[in-house]
Amino acid sequence: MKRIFILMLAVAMLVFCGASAMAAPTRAETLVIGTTGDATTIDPHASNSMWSNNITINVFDPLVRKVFDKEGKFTLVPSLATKWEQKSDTIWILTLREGVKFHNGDPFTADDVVFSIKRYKDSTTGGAGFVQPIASALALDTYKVQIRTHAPYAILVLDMADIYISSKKHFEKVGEEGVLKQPVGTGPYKFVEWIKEDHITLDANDKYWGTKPNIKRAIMRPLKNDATRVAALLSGEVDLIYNVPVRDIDRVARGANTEVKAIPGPDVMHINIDVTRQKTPGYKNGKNPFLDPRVREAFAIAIDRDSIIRNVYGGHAYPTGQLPIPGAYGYVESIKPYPYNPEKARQLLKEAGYPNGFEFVWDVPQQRYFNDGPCSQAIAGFLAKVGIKAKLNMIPSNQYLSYINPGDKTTAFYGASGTGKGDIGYWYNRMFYTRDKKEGAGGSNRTHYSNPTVDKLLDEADSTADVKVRKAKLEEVTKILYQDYAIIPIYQYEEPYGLVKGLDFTPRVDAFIFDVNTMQKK
Amino acid sequence: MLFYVIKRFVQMIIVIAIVATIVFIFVNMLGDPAVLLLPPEASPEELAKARAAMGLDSSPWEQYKLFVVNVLHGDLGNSFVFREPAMKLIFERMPATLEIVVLAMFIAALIAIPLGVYVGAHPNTFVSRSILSLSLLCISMPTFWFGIVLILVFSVQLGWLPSSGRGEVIIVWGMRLSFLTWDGIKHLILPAITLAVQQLATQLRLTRAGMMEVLRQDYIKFAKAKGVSPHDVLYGHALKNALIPVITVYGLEFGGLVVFATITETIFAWPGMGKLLIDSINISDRPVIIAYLMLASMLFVVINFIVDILYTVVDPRIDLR
Repeated sequence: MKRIFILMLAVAMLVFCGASAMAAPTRAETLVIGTTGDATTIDPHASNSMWSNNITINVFDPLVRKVFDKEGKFTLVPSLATKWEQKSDTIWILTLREGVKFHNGDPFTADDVVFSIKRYKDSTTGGAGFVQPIASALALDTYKVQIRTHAPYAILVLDMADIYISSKKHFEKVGEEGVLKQPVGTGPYKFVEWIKEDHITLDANDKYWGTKPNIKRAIMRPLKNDATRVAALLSGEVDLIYNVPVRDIDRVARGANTEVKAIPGPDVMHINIDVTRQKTPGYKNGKNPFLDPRVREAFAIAIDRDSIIRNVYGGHAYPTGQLPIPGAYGYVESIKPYPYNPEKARQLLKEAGYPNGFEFVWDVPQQRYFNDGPCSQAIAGFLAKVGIKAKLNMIPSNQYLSYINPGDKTTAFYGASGTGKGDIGYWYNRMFYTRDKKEGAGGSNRTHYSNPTVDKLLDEADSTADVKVRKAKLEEVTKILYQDYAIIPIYQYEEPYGLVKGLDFTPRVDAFIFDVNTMQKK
Repeated sequence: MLFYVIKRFVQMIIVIAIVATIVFIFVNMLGDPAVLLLPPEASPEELAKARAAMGLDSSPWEQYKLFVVNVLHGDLGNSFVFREPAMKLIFERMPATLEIVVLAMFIAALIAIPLGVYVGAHPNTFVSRSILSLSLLCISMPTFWFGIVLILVFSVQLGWLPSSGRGEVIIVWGMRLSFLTWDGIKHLILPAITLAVQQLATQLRLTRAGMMEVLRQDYIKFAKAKGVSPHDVLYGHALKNALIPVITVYGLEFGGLVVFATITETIFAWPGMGKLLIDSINISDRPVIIAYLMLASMLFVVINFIVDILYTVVDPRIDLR
């Protein structure tokens, strides 16, 4: 017995020798955010994953910052770049903010901008997409950078809002691995620690050049399970959560200390159909029925969007007839969702030569998008009522994109498009430009859509330096796609946030949703 | 004994090699990691660049050869997602999982074995029947449901215990441990109970079955005739012999919980290993999946080995040869 006691004492001593307790933050000065997933990296240039972006936006400053209002519309305000001038169709000159310092004390200069753009370009894990239109960046002097785009590019300023600047000197000192341990930016918050799958801690940067942060410490916790996330909010362990599940929205809204803020999100769910190929893999009996616009129209008007939104999403979604969201370049105010009209759909099918309807294979993912299973089944139900039998081909979420990506196996699939950036041009280029005609375009055109007018309009949109012209061209494309029934948009997601009462929080409609420096805790 | 250990070691190597090969084949059937990792609108050029960076641009056979060579050099590859060594990612999360699993198995054994002995010795009383019915309920209760009910009752309604996470930790030799602080212990309770409940029921029923079997045997009658006290008959003579199947299952369940406690970890946002496996499968992070399952198979072989040795301790008639 004595021996055991001495052994235990020894173990206890060893444990406490190796132990180091952590300083406890005060809860009132801390904002705890419950997210739906963990970051994949803390390197701002390495990826475009939502939860990595949410470290980036707080630790780093973009060249231009987006500020959102209550309606979800944004304005661009100078951040690290104070001025941007267009010198020619493809050359822009940025004037940078003077006197800004990185968290480690290094001064911010044009070299850091050039360095950061190059790091984005070299990324193999998704960062390259942020700077795709930029051909080169050159430091003219300490506070002037020249940016050259591949082609005239009207919306460079929008892209600049997603370009975050890290320190070149710091990188040269600590290298690739050091940057992954300790990111150094100029932003309103300093990185403290990242314990994977547990939490990320950021502390206020008291020397911030802009508005001084009101919240002293921000902690982001990945709470993947919906019920857990809601429970953590209701019990007061977290102050703000992303994505309140539909079934809990009322409960959070009625809570004694909690409320819900919901705005239309950046994603539009849609059905892509093959409207081009004579033979299509998902239809067995000869010629592709979707070649006939009447069939497409029947398809589009057979779906009762309001009923789906009411019954599958508890009313928390918005019917739409186009991919761009309100406020984004390419959005056309006058386009309304295709009206629900099953009688006319049946009539149209009869005229098109399918009095008894037809059967086709529809590829849908399993739990890739929110409620995708029930939603696709509901849509199939409506299609069946007019005689179109959609055979659901359910594909596991992680194989879904690989399956539909080559575009040779799929006739119709279920997808989401995001215009979080504020411009639909990129999506249109990838999804509707004729395949293999122009480099960098048509890469995700999985349904082989090909329309010379659309190609021409997209070329024009991408070769003008004038935002107004670009907007007009993209709106033209939106109209054509609508009239063509080239894609069947269903609804726009709602993004519901749950928060404690007294937290001043404005949701953002883009891929960087938690800008802590815009929030206030009472 | 030494020969036995060597034999088991060789067996372990063979098992791990087979598992690694099978898993390697299967992960190649999962989705394309490049497509999953990059944003959905990524261009084919970006995808090709990513594939090359991940070493996925060569044929599967070439990839397998490279994989074997690397493994022999002790390198299981870097995670595609985190760009860090797969083994490091797993070991970082291991202490968290071990904490809840050890506590859960401890709670389970502490309650299940005495109750199992009691129920086995007095099979026909009302209390025994109630315990047995309750254990059936515990076995058939889905983990995710039970975990969420615990959260709703103890965190949201009563506000006694935290709903998720690890709480305050103390770092000991680089490991983050919750059980050394009061706040951490409060965070441990609910997930440990969630894990323990099913184990408890299984072990209780196994102990009971073993006891009923053993109590019928002649040497028990002999012990009773000799005048050994009822308590010593049960715990000294009978329990030891009834424990063999319990230990076997205990060991396997322990290993199972360590590597596959995914559901409980997800519900309580507990940053353990099981979640890593599921996340890696979802995003086709091949190096992590392979390393994880190799480690899992190794763990099972080691646990089986320990169980075999425990047999000889509990029942000296069993010989390892």
